[in-house]
Amino acid sequence: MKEKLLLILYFTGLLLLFNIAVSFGQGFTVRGTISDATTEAGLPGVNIVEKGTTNGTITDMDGKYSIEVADPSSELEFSYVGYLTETVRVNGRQEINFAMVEDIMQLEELVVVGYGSQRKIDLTGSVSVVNTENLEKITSNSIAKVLQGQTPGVQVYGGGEPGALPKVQIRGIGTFLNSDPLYVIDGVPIANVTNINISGESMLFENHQPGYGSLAPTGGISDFNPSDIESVQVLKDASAAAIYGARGANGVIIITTKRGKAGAVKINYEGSYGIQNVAKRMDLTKREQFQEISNLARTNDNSQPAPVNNPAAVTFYIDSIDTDWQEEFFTQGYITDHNLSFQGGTENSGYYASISYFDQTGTVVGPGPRYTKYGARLNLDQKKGRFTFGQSLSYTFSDQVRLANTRWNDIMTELVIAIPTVPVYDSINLGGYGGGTPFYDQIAGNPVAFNNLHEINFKRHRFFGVVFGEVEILKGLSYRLNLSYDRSEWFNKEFVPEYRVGDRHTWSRPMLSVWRGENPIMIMEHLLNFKKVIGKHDIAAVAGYTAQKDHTEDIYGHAEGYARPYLNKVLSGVSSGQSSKNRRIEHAMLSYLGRINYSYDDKYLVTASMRRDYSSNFSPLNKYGDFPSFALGWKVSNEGFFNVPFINVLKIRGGWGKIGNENIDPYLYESYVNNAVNYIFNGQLTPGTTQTRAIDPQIRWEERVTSYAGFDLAMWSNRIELSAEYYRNEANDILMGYPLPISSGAIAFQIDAANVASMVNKGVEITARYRKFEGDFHYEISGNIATLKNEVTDLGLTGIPIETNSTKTEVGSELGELYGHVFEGIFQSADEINTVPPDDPLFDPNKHAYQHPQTKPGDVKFKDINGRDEDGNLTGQPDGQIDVDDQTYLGSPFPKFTYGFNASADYKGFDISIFIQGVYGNKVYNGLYQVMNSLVEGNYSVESYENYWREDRPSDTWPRPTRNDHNGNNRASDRWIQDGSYLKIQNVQLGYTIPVNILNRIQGIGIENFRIYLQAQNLFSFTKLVCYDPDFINDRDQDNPVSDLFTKGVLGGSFPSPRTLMVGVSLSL
Amino acid sequence: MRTIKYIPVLAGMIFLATSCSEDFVDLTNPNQITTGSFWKTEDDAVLGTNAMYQALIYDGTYMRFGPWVMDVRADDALSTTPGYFPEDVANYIVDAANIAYRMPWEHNYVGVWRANQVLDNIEGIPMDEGLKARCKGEAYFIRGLCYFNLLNLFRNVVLYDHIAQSVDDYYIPQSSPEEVWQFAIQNFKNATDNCWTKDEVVAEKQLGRATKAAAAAFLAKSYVINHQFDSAAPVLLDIISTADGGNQKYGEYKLVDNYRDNFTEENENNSESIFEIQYAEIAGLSVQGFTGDPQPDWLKTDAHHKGLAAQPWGWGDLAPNPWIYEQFQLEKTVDGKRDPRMEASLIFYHDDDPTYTIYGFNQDSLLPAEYQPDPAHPVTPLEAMTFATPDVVSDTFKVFIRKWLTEDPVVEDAWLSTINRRVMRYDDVLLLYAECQNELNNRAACAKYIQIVRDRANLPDREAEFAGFTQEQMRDQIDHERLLEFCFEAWRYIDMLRWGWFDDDNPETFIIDELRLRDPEYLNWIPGREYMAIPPEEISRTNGIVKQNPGWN
Repeated sequence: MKEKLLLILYFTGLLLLFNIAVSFGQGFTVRGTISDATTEAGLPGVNIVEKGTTNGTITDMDGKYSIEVADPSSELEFSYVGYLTETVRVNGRQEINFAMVEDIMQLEELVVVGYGSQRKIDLTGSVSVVNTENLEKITSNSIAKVLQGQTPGVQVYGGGEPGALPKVQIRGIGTFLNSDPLYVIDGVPIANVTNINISGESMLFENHQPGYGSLAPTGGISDFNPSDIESVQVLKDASAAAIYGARGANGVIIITTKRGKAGAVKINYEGSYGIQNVAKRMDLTKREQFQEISNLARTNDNSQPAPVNNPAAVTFYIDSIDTDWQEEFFTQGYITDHNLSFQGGTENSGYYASISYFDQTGTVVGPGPRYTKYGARLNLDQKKGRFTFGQSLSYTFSDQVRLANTRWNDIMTELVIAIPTVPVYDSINLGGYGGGTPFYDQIAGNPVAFNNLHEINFKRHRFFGVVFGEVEILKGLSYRLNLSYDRSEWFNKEFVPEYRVGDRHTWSRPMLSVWRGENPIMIMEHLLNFKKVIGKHDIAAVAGYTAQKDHTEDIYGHAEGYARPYLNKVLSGVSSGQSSKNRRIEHAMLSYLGRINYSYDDKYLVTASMRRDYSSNFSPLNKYGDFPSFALGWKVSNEGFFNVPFINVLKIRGGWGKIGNENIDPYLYESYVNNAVNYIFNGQLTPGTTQTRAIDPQIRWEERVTSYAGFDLAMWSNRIELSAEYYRNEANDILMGYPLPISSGAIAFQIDAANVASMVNKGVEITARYRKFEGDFHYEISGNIATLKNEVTDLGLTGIPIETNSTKTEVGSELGELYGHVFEGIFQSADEINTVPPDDPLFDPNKHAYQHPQTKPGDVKFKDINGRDEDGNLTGQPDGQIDVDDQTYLGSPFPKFTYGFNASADYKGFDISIFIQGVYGNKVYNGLYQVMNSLVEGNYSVESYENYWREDRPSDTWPRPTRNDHNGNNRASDRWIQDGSYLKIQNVQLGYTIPVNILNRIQGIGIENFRIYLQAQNLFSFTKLVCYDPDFINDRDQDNPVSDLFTKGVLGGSFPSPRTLMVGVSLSL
Repeated sequence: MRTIKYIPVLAGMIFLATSCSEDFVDLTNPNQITTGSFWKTEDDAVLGTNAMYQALIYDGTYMRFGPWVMDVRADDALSTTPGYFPEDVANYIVDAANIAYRMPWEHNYVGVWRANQVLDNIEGIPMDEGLKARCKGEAYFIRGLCYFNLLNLFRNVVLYDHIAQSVDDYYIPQSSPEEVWQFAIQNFKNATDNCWTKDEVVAEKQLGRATKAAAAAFLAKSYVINHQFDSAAPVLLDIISTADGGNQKYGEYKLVDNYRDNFTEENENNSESIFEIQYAEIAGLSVQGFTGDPQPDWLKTDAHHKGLAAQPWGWGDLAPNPWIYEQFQLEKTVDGKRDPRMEASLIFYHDDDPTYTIYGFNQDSLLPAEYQPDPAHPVTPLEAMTFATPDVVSDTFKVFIRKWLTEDPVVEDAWLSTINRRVMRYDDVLLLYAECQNELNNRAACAKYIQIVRDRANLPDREAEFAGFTQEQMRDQIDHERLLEFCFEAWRYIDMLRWGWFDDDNPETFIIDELRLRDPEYLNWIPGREYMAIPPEEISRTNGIVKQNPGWN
């Protein structure tokens, strides 16, 4: 873009030069050279104007100029696109050499804002432009992951498993449905990542499987290659995103891929290779320590030690096995990334082509997880006269071997509870892996076995194509047609052989499940663009009409009863467990949109937009919604009265808008009958049909009303930039499963979707940047910080709180606040149990137990907080009894603030950068810590071993081991609540660019640029959280993505991101 | 004027823009039959009627928990489970996670909703009037039966007499038990009028459907539970066969010769059976549908037996109270043998038959060492009913109920029992009629009908002796006769309730101290808790609109 502008300016400048040369021919002459402050090279085409006159000139190819001015006290103004304009008083000098400073605000930079673009300086909405230089430094399969910490208000969680899809949230959660933002690539909204439940009621794996989570059949943004990205913009509020109407509720991330540039072909290669390790280890008990606790947990409950742990049971006792499961399970993984691109074009055409290969193996033993991705892209542009055509075509194939989960737990939980007396391998067992026998008397898992035995292979194809044509109808008015086709296809194959991993983990039905499906999306867009400058009025407008049709169709097959050896794992099983299913889900949208951007005198900016969407997800009565927005901006620094010399730019802006969310399962407004409600009459299966689920035919759009105010500031020749915003997002009519009384008779006693809840999110976002760009030593530091306050304001008719095992969401509270009992100490004696709490007059040991009839010394004492009166209403007073009413608020899952910090510097070819990211002030319900420390079953932490209560070693903080845990020592309580703050050194990179003169000496093939670098990703985390990775997604209930929202502060067995050490090279020819 | 040549472009654009109208987004669901297109034809009416019956084979109705929670609280059975659900129910403890409280509430209401769908939609369907009457009759029966169960389980229940039209319709408080009983009785009356007779059902090959006799029997039982003996007696007499002196209005019912035939696969839908849950093994079905949206691969089999079978064959959730072993021994048959109902009801140590086996194991091999019978002493009830499991690792003892059990061991993960559950039998009609006559002070008639049932068990003829009993003596005798006839059939607890044994306001019938001696599980009973707790989740889901039962707060 810049080159083109330069060319145009150059030629117009030349013309000017001739004109001026003819018109003026006398006076005082000034000469000099204008150079770039950074490169010190001469700048051609710089405009030089004698202030207050029309007298001017431009520099020549070497940056030299000469101008005659009226008198020696004149002022000269130097201006050049992309550089700061400067004014210099001649003061009688005949030679003025001047170094121009690049305008790092890049005020003229065009920013894509959806159905059009705007100068960055003219933005009125809440739009973040992501620094793509920083993105390029992080190697990941997903664009989503590299966004982490780069922009305030954009939170990215988890995604440690190769091929995993991290969760991205913009300004918090405003829906109970999928909260992923909308991604728009090269102008086309792409499919949301929709998890299809494969073990839910919908279709797959029901009662068949040893337990896997859901799969995302479309890879969303992860199917696109981060190296192809030219720019990323984040539309965070409705005044910017309302142009996307019903799809913009969660914010919009607009990605533009690289396109051809006029010039000779430029070949770029980037490659990196790294090793990956999970560095963290939990401190778990060894065999003897484990056996001691395990035996006590039984003898404390009046039962016998398990024979394998009992030295008296001589033939069974195990003293020769001491498996360190973490060492057995974790291994070194590898990551490889190659990108090769070709870029070039002529004045009227351009091309960009790339191929890429990405491969990441897991950090655990076994075939999975592993993720391999192959990609190719071809972007073309053609121009003739008034006509412009273009194409963006990409294809990605990904091959993912999934991490196996087990029948009972996710595999990370399985790892920490795996007991040391089980051998990893045991040839006696079918399948070859060790496991417990009945003499172990506990569920003894083997994570190595599960991850090796279960084969899960998920393959995805993604074709994405946009074709557009544009014609300039009149000057300033153009029509554009976009046609896009976005097709995902997937094939998932899962095989579970017959195996025996101990008595509790045997699988006797070798089975195969296959799942294949397609999701094509077709979008047609007609857009009219209008641009006109009339005096001080600058008007840009767009009007459009779009239609979208998409569907998901999948087939599923399952068979069991394969014979060893399993040669052909195709659907040819022979048992009774065979089934196959087919499903088709259709969706259509139709939209009208319009937007007008108006500015007056480059001081006052107004944007207004309107969109009407029709969606097939709602009944004909409620099928459309209107989404208006407006925003205002005031460039204070352009006012005549504004005279603060060190401030270059001051802009105040604010906006309001309404967006919608229609991203629900289809057909939810329409009740249907189930025709499998069969019964036996006369010994024969007789079909029956009836409605089994309740629906609400009145469902309508979720609505998000947002408003914001903020300012942008650039100071000291734009060396310092500062932006701050305050926002308030109100989410209304949130669709959720609406709880019905059980007596409704409806399955799951709920309406699957009703407009029930409301929420408010508000917060402040600040970004700041400082850059030093003169001389040999350059550096830049930038940081961002964001706060988010969430409040649930409505939960419907009955206002019933949404409770999970350890969280509660109620009106007036935050989403998923942590909830449970309060630890008060350890009962030291039977007397204490019978009199406790001594100051509680309501406690009567003859009437009921304080906690449980079988509470014993060494058990946890929880705090008595609340009780009920005779009518069953809560009193807020202790009642001498510990029950569910004594659960209380235990902390907020929302960080007080989140932050990111980038620093980079370079000196004569060497460059270094560091990226730090973190969250502060949230609480986490640590489920992993809970299973390690529950002193019930499974392996234990050394911490619990060293501290547990014994009569001869009393403790007031740690309870006794008890297998049955009648007292509920391990119930949800603040024992498991930890500080979730962390600071993560996400990326450190050291690079060296070989100087051009050396390259010239060694090459004969024209290498233009050659850089090598060393890099560490996810180097270290500072945190108090006891876990493998403080950056987690709650994996506890993968089958139910909605439940994640309500348990976002609950740490389960989220797969950790590895520490990565890499070397890389980038090369251009 | 150069712009003129762009007019076709503009026109084309406008054409494209308007070629899709707003009905572009009106899509129909290709995967499901929508409710709007259902309930149109005679076939739909029959399909909708059939679907109601599936509600009877959910976890909370007859497939498992429904009978389970009745038996575990009665004095004939004990909880011996390793799981806490039945243990807590048996001990009158509730918490929100105990699905044994929730399932019966949940699944009986599924039946109510499905019956309401039939009744609210069928009137508008043009169809054969006879068939329409049958469908309506069955809907009245299912709705009546589900409320009958809910009342006996929970007493204070929510009354839905129509399908809900809006979300608000779901949030209604409980009605008085009297009002709901009246509703159930009216449903059974309507069902009696509209259902087919047994003969029609047999002729049309529709065995398993509710019949007039089934509706009448539940109508009479509802009256009896509400102490309306004068209303119950004529209804019962209409069912009783002419051979037994009745009106035989709905076809002939008679006792089968062998009592055990009421609990086996071979003798399903026999002459004694009045209403029976139908189970069958159907090829291709593989999933036990405990709860949720019915799927095509759901088995049509019983899971109750898995809870009854002792470990390791089953879960050993329930076991007979050793007290009942003595009750069976009180009387011998006319030829000096054990009451045949004992053999059909219990698995016990046969000291007179050394070859007796349990699932193929000789009884001696299963007897724990400390219980090896001493030839010098008679076998005690506890000894006779206590067996060690053949699992060498575990030393837990489990005892056995035989009713409903398959003769094959229950193997891991196999739920299959296809033995139909006889919910209402002719012997019950006879004993209820006898009880009515006692309450109406016709001791002789009462004695006659008691003896008809005793005759089948080959017990001595004591009709004349019984005829001379006082009303109070007769009540005790009826208690005894019903215990032996219906133990472990989920009726015992309902009998105990209606006889006022837990009614602390009535000192004449209130016998909690005696019950506590018989069965220590009553130690935790407090007044009010004789009825199940309303599932706590229901209270919170309705935000207190549905109130907890007395005694449970």
